Amino acid sequence: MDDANAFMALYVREREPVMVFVARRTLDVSVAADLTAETFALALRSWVRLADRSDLEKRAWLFTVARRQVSGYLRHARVERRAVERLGIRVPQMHEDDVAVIEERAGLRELREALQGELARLSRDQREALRLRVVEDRSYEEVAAALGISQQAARARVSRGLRALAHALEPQRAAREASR
Amino acid sequence: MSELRFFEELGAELERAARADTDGRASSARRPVWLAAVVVALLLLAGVAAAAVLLIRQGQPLPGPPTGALGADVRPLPGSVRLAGLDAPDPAGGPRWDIRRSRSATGETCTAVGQIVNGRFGILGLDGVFRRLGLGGVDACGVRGIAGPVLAGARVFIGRTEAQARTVVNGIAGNDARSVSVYGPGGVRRLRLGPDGSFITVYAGYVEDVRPKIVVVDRDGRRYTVDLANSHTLQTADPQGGAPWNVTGGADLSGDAYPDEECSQVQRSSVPPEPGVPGQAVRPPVLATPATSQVCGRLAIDPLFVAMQRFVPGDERTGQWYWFDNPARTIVWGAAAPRVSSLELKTATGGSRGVPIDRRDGAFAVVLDGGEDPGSLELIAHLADGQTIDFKGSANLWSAEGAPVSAPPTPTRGSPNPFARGRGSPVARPIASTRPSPSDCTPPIPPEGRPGRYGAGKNHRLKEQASPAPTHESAITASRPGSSSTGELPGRSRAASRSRSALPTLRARNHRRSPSCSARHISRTLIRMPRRLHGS
Repeated sequence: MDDANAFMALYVREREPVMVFVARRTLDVSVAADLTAETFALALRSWVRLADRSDLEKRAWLFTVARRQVSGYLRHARVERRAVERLGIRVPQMHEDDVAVIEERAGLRELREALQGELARLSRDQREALRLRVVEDRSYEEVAAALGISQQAARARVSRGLRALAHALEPQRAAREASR
Repeated sequence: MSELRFFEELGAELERAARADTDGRASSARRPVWLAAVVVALLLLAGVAAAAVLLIRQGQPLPGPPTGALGADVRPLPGSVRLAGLDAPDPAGGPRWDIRRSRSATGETCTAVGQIVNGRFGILGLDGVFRRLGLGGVDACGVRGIAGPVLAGARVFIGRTEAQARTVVNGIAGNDARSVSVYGPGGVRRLRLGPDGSFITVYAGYVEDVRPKIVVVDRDGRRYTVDLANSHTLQTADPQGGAPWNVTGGADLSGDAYPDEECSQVQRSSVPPEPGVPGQAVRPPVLATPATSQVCGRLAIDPLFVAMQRFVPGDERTGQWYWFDNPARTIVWGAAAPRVSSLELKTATGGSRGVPIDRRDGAFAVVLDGGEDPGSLELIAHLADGQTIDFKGSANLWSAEGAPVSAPPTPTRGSPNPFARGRGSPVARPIASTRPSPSDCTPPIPPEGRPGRYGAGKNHRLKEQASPAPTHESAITASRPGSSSTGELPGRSRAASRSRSALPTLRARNHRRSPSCSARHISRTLIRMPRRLHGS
């Protein structure tokens, strides 16, 4: 099998798990599509190093990159496109039907409902800190100024809020993975 | 998930890149002569087919506004931008029109209208040059309120002649919309609905000539009418005549607001502004107009929320409102849920009057002479199920902290309350003269309220505004829901610019802790940008 075929085999095998992984962390199928494309573009650019690794190692590599993509997106509120641009890849538009299918397969509706419920359980301070930092993408300095607290306290509130959410959603994630 | 088109298309792109990376040169060298001939033939055929399109020259893309100039609520998220695929015909047979949807970081649905040439989204100028519209450019953003469409409005493109001008009626009716019809010249157009109930139709001429009326019918048969050439903000008369009062309401968009939380505010309209004219500076809001505080409530829990308060000269609350030295008034204001069919206000003297409700956002208000004791007022809500509920004093209000409160924020008295026992009254007229103007006492009021005025306004969602440098009107806009923007595009004659009336705001939305709702109640947006930004 030549390199192009080997790469495409990896793509066909892992595209759905990667897409679902990213969609569940961004709650946005369109963003997930962009990040998935960038992840596979990075894999293609790194193929020289990946080609001889086992399938398991390739998978681990892909998900590490996908996780970094998500992290970068959440931090900067923008999608990294360097690899797709360098390769001249045109990321296709998401079709409405595709969005519905991916939302369903990633269980986004249930996840959003669960998140909404858990957000309501957070303290008002934590919720406000999360809103400023995550939704409005304010810097910690701005979050601190808006809430009238120190930057350290702002970081702590955001961090605790995220931890609380992650902790609350853990059973759901485990149940989902167990059902696979 | 292999059946997904996205995966197939992305796979094709990746495979192309992978093969180019590995054996692209070799395969190119081995390409048979017959294949090249076929490619040439296909190109020739395509050339004939595309000849008409090629007559349209391509210009520099129209840039979006500077990233830093847009708030998160109007900045499209990468990857969320997509066309509705509606392909509305142009009245003169020009390139078809479509609506481009996107989502902002704060979850608002944003739209931009444009034409499609060679699969690209942009605008064909009067100079015959097609310019792509940058991804950052949006016309309007909005969120779903308690009822009705998310966005509905029109975009006006100026022409050298009336016939060249275009009024592009468009919006997002939402997934529960069953039909959208537009009444205009030539009768009714029943529009095809795209994703999320998106719709678009294009008329030749200016909006005040077209006078389009959009009627959205939802699954339950409820109709929502947006009359673009008539109604605007709900207005209520002042008891002593003069400038009316604007009543604005809408969803509370602060991040910690409840989903069903709505807000309402009343502000006296200032000197009627001139309609915005491309090429002229946007008139700043007149700050000396008195306004109430913004009050909020939850319309899923309560049928309405209402504040009843007296304001006297000098009243203020720093950062929330200023009454200045305006004569005293007692104001009843709030918002009602759709299940409230009508409102009636009873005064101490036994008088009774109907209170109009703005059916677009539920807002209502009555302005009385300051001699009217708010404690003596009684608001009666008649519900659709036949139930009647009486409200004495402020009720069902929620604070900015998300808790029920019994009264709106208390003013800091700038001068003694003239109605307190033993004090003189500085109001211009005696209490006995309190009498609403006839126009304010004439129920039933049409659902849309009385016609208001069109006006230009400053778009407060833009952090940067109105460059003092030589400017050129841009088609790039970011506006409130239902607002329109009149843009002059490169290639569209400036000389032909003329005063254009703006469109009504479908749903005013207010941010909590705002000094004035009305200042944000934008009916029209003209963003002026340095000429160099257009690459001209």
